[in-house]
Amino acid sequence: MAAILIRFFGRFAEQAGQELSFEMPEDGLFISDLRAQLAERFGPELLDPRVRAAVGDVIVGDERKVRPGEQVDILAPLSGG
Amino acid sequence: MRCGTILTERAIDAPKLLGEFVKACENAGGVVSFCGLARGRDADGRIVATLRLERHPRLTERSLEQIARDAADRFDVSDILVVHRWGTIPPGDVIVFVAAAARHRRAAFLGADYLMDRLKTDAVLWKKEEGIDGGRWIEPTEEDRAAVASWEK
Repeated sequence: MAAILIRFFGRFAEQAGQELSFEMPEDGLFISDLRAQLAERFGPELLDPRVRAAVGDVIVGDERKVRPGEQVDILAPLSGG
Repeated sequence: MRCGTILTERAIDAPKLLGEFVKACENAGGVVSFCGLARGRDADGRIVATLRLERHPRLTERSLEQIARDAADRFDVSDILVVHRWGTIPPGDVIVFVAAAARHRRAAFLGADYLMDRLKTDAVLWKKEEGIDGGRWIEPTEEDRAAVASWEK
């Protein structure tokens, strides 16, 4: 099994910690599947459509496939301004 | 066209920023500015000890730049400034300062209004009110969402 590094921002960091090494298949994992697996572990809020994922500092959609060694940021619903 | 964004952990001196902004404007007939302040009480009336704003190492600044650029592209403004604070913010302090200058006041008002509506929903930041009973993460309200959506009509 390979792994990716996940960083959590906003409320999710309280439940999941700020960083998590996450095991995944060698041939990649779709963001949608990653979110589903994280939701099983940390709660259904992770499936909220306002939650965004970023890979390499670029916000990506659920259809993006992440590769081993990449860094994925999970962003809770934004609240700036 | 001057378009500036600043993300800072330091206290924002709004009068100083406004003074400098006005002084540096060329060709402007009007300047509109807005300060967002950290409220001392939350929506339920409980005292807020501090407001904590979390940022992303790179996406936060990028989001401020994009929002400022979008305002500059959309309205006939000559100068734009967005200054957003992150970190621990005591009640009463300035969270965000925006200013828009234009030859005509309508564009300046619209530019500043648009900047705030966009910042409320698209700035990559996370707000948490912390008080005696613990903390509460803030999310944009229905009003915030309706406000930003109205610019799309």
